Amino acid sequence: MNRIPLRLVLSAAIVLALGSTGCVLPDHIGSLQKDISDVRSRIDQIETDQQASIQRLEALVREMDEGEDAPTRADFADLKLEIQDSTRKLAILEEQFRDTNGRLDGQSRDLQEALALLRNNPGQAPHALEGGAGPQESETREDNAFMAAGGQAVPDAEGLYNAAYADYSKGNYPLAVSGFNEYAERYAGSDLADNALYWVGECHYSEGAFDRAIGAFDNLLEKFPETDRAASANLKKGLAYLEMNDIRKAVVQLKYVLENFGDTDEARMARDTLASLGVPAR
Amino acid sequence: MPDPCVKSTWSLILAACLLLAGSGSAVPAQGPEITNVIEEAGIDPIRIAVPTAATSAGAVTFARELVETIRDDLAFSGYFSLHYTEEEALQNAAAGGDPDFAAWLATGAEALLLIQVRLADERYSIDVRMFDPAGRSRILHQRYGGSADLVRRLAHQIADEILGSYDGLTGIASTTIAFISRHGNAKELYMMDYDGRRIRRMTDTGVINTTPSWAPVGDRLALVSWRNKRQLFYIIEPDGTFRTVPILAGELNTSPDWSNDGSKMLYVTTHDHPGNAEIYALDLSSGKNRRLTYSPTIDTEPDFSPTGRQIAFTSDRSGGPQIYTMDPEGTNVRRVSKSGSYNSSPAWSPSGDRLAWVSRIEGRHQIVVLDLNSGTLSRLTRGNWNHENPAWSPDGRHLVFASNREGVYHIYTMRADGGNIRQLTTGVSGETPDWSR
Repeated sequence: MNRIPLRLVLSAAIVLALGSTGCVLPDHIGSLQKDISDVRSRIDQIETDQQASIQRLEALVREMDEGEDAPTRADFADLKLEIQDSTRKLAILEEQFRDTNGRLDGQSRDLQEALALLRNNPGQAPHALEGGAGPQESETREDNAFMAAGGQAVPDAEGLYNAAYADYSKGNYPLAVSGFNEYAERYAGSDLADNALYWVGECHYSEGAFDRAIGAFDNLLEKFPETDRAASANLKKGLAYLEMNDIRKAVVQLKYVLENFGDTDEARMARDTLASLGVPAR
Repeated sequence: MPDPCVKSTWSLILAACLLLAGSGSAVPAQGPEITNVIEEAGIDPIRIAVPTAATSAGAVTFARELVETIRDDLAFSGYFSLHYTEEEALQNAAAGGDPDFAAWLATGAEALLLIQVRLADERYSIDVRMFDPAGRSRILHQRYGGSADLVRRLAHQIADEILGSYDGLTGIASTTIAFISRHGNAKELYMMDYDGRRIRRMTDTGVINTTPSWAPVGDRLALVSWRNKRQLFYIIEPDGTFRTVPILAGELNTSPDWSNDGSKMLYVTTHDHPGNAEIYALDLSSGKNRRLTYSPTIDTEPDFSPTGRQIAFTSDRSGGPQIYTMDPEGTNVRRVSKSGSYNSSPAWSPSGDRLAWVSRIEGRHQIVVLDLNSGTLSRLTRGNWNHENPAWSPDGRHLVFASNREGVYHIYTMRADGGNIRQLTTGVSGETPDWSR
């Protein structure tokens, strides 16, 4: 049974932050990224609370000025305590945020090192370990993770992809870009590598960084010319040019989609978009 | 007996499209049903004591309703269970200063809420203190004030702040659930407080109204209605007036859904091809409509993700209804539901990291939720009944849905882990609920 702690969940989060295992566990990066996201939300909430306290303070001062229903010294004392408490919580959370961020950076470095070790020691590749021995074997299998030569586990492919996608869905675009790029680099031969690169473009598009989105879609199309995301990526390039108000390039790109991706939904969308621009499809 | 007239939104759209198309050929393919579901662990709630409030003369009735409502709100949250004890001596001992922590701890209370209500010049002053008996500490101290008619609103505000003190999230005690209830051949819009109190009828159209959808801010909602002898969209303003939504209307128009910033509305229409429902987006400021799907099959039930950068929807493009996502430009279509022959009614959680939908499991419609962080699909409901139209509470802690577990369809809520199921509607039936944001 899950247990909700009586004290603030914040305390548990601090314990979590302090309780670093010192090794890179499966999906640990994703978990840390989630921690960061949660801490950000809490900081926002506390800042909102603080603003409310300040507004109440201003109201009390106004009441005092107007001489009606005059606030007591206790009212001010309580409010002061409240603001002090919020400030303290904020400081703790900011510290936790820095700490978690630092751990994320550290674990990313660890991952890079583990990767380098794997590349240099192909005998330690994941599948080679399936029949191997060692104290962490059963845990490794259970977590669907694999072990680096140094005995450190790195996130499994699915965990890394899911974490990046969850970040995208929550609007944490920089973290999602980092995760998808990492996936595409580490699992370049996997079925989802082209999808990961597509998501990188989508993240930039979602941020409104349309020039970077075009660059990311170009990168996808260069690395995976046969990707099943080609129609979407090309259409998205055209829409990105439109967003940048570069109508000439947008029209060229949309016509390219129309001519090269025949009977696809993307071609139909390109046709409709061209029509909305007053440009004949043919 | 289950109400045979109430079916899932997907079934209704499918039936309407078949009728419009004059064809019965689009029979969903039968595939393996979901079996790889994982049961969520329950949550062990905190035992909180909320003794009768200490009151001044004339404040007893107000204080009783206040405390009862706070108790209901806390119990409803699922994160607290009410702890009753022989409290009188303890309450008296607590009235002056700090409570007797040891005595409260001995009763088994894990949290303690002490409330004092005073009446002066027809205005009630409320002092709320929350304690942790084990830690011998005060968790919260707030003062409130208001007139008698605000008692439930004040109680909801207090409950929300108590919940917020535990995990920093905003509570839901002040929210409203809209739903549809059958009246003879008509279906009218109803609303109720989040806890099922104050059920009130909002329309008296004598026609069929369906799928209310709350705007992200304000008290407006979108509604599909036959009030002008044609199925169209309306926005109902807080003053009750109906405003037509400028969609590209076809014979079938349904499933309105607002973006989180309120600037866009998704909807489904057969405008371009009778019998083929497609998803469109309306820019509410410019009035421009944009078609998002072009599948020759049915695409329906669109739901914006919280960021507005993804749309979940139901489509039978793979042979039977399944859950897909796409971006708001209509590209990058991906199938999300991986198993089961029937999946419909997707609903994004407010934080964007979970997606709930209805899945047919062993012949019944059950609500499942996909955790996007882990990729884990969990089953939330069970039993020999149908569960339809899940919608999230604004804090992501609960889901509201319709179920025929009592024979006719009623509105229920449950925690996001499937626990604490509660029936909200009594006296009137309920379907297609939506929780205000």
